[in-house]
Amino acid sequence: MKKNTYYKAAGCLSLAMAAVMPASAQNTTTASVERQKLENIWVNNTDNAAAGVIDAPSRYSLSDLNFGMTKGDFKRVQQGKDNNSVGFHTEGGGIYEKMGGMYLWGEFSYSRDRIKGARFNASLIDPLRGMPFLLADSTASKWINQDYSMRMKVAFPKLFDCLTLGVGASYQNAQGAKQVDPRPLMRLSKIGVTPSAVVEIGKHNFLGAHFDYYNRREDGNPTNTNNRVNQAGWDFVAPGFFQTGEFGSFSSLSSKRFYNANAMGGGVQYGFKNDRLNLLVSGSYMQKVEDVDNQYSGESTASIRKMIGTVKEELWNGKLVANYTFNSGNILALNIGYTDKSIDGIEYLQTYDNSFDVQAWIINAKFTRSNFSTKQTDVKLDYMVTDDGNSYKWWMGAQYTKLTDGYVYYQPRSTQDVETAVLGAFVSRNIRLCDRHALTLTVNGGYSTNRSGELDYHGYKADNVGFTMLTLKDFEFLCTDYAKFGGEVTYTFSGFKNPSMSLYVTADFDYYKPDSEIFSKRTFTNFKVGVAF
Amino acid sequence: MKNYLKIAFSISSAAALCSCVGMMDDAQNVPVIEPITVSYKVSAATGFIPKGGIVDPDPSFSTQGVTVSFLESATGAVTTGVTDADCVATVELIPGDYTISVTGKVENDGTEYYLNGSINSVSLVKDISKQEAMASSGLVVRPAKVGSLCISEIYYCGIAPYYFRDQTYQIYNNGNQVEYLDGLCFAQLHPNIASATSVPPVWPDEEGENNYVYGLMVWQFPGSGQEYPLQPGESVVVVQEARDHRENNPASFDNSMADWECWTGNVQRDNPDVENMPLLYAQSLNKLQWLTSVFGAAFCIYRADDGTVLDEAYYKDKNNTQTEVNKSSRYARIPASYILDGVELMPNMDILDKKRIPGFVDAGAASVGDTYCGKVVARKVVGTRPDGTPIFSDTNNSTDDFEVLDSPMIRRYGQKAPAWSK
Repeated sequence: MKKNTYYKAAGCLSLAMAAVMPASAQNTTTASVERQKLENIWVNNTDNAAAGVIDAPSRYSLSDLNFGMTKGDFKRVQQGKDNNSVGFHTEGGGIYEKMGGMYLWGEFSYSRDRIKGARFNASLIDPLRGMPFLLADSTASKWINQDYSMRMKVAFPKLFDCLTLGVGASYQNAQGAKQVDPRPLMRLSKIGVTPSAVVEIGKHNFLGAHFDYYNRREDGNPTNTNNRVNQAGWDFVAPGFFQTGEFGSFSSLSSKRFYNANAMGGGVQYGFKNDRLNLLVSGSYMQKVEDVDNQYSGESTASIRKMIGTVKEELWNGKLVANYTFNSGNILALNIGYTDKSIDGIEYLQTYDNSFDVQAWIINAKFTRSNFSTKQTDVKLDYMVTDDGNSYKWWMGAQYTKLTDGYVYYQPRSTQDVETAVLGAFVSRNIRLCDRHALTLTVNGGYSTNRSGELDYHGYKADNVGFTMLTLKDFEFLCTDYAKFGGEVTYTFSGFKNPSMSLYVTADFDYYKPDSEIFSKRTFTNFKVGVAF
Repeated sequence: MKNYLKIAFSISSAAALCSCVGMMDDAQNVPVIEPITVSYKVSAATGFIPKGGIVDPDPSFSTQGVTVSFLESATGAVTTGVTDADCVATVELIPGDYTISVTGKVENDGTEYYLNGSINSVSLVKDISKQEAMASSGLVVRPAKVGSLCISEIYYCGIAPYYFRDQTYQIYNNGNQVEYLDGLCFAQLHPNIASATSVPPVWPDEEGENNYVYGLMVWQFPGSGQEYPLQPGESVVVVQEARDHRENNPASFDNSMADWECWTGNVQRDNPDVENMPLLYAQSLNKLQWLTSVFGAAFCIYRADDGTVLDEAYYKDKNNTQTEVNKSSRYARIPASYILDGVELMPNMDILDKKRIPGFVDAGAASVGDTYCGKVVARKVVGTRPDGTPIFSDTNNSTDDFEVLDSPMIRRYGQKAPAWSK
């Protein structure tokens, strides 16, 4: 019987991931899902899948097609200047009473991005993911990236009336293809698993823990379609530290590059919940180790790959989330988060032993030569005026973020430190025009101010464009104050196809205005059409 | 069947877990890099240097006062020191892979010698005391007599779009007395290309270290002994193909007045008005043309130090050619004592640590930094003779001796043509 239950759960999970969910009793809209996400603090603030039973969210499903455009020069050098994206996204889940109160949730997304005008990247689908070892060229290039991502969470029926076990899993597959020589075709796959548990202590107290593991691989080979013209390139080990070379036949940068990461970590959580207060305190730690190696043209076996470097990333995260529900049903939500990320860049000293029975790069020594540190504190306060149903009338919030971002290259010692504070606020009004029509209007604004910024470079290539056009310009970007404002309009038509299903159309626009003579602006425009049920 | 699947799954999972744990374990407690103090000895050796460079330094040959440069390949940092009375230089370095170069001029028994040499890919990862340095052989440098003949200008990179037939080499008498070109050999050295990923060739142990360089192609100036005198301030022009190349590519230049053409047998590419340089040895003959790497090859001029004129029979003797370990291609084996001058060219100067010929031939390298850019490497002028001809820099270190100029020129800076030149 129990076996049958699990088979059903698996089947239903698949259905959830495809967003073909059975209709819930109440009308589901994007606003109702937003309210639910604010209320369900465990599901949306931790990776503990078992905690789904604490939040016990009602079942929902969202599926949408989206199109986005990003334009403007206020960006990191490696980001595109004129981008567009099409995608499909679906998510859904909730508590299934008929399956012993299991929690099931799944998400699938596909995106296809055209990134135009990106520079200094010839080896990574996402050059800003915290990987200092990268190949680069200076040509303004177009990348076409495709990404397929899936995630799921399951919380199994309660054991011993107090223990819930859960598991989360994720899979990502992506390709990135640069459209100008040198043009790598990068392939990425990532698979992760997150087992978890929650123990109820009495009616109101909860203790949770989860373990997290993922493996991530990315590889590709920058080649030229015009093999008569070599392309100048850079082999970076850190910002401002690189070797120059050429992509092309017989050239120094003609190699296949492999990135292989393993990450392990976990977290613990404590929660308190009664009719008024929903409190969560959580902490997590994750360590990722990513090896970077090259396989050169003409070398076919893995044994003669050369280590380029290793990245050791440690990520600490702490959160305090508290929701207070007033008699009126209105919600005051406080969310404080702190993240400390430290990335060590490890470089190797190697010699090639080409004696007949060895033929391999031999590691003589390895040293931590760089460290990248990011510390972020977020304080967010929301107030939601709920309506009679499962949605809201007003939702307003303010957020303060303090971000310190820096790196050190130990020898020759070079450092960069940037501290930024961002203050933002938003107001949303969900207007029910009549029984079946609703309009949600959101306006937001914010200001980012650079509190300090210092780049102290003692490398030997200060005149090289690999420093002036990438490191220096990125530093200028990070130190630039900006104002941001935007808005979003969502029209919802309820009762589409069936009474609980709604059709929605969303348009949003964000405008970033930097206080700078170098940068002019950045705009984000997105359109979305989907169904919620 | 199910059991097999379970076992396979379990083994795979265990292997994956072990691999993951091993990889993560390797990244723990990696020390932060700190500067180290390194003492490094420079020795001079005049005889055969065995493999590994382990040779007793000649005690009568002091290397005091030469400059030792440590080039770190990762950052391009260059640290220099000067050898003391114990022939040891002491410097503070970042741990890393280094190219160590020695450059200087010393006097021994009344004769001036260049003391230039370099060694690649030396891992320096911990302190080396002066006592430790003195107990080792350090860098063993082969002294080179200060000579007169030198390669004064090389145009090798070609010009857009992909035109390379105008490659031109000029050899100059930089000394104070007449030199005879007769029997002089002009060699393109192996390997033809250097890159950041290239691995140096491995020669048999009996070759020792820095005793030879190896020729891919060897051309020889004709003459019976004194037919082709080169007076101080005179130069000769040797080309791949002698013609006014502007007819083929307007951006190219005219080298039809060359003294010799290095012709490999393509009847369509022979200029009958220019004498062909005799080919003494070819590792692999390309009958279309003699094209040296547009990324930059390496060259030397040499003749036997005992006065013997080398001939084809000399290179038919396998004792005078050599193969790399586990390979079959044979290269002309050129003893160090034969070499009068050499120049190493690189794709760019950022990969100087990938030098592929010994420092006694050229302690540095030169580069125009690009292909098909029409630029040229030419020796710097350090003085002028009373007749107006230039005196070129010749320290046996091309990094210092050469500069990059925008276009090739025949007999630049007032160099004279020999009387016998057409």
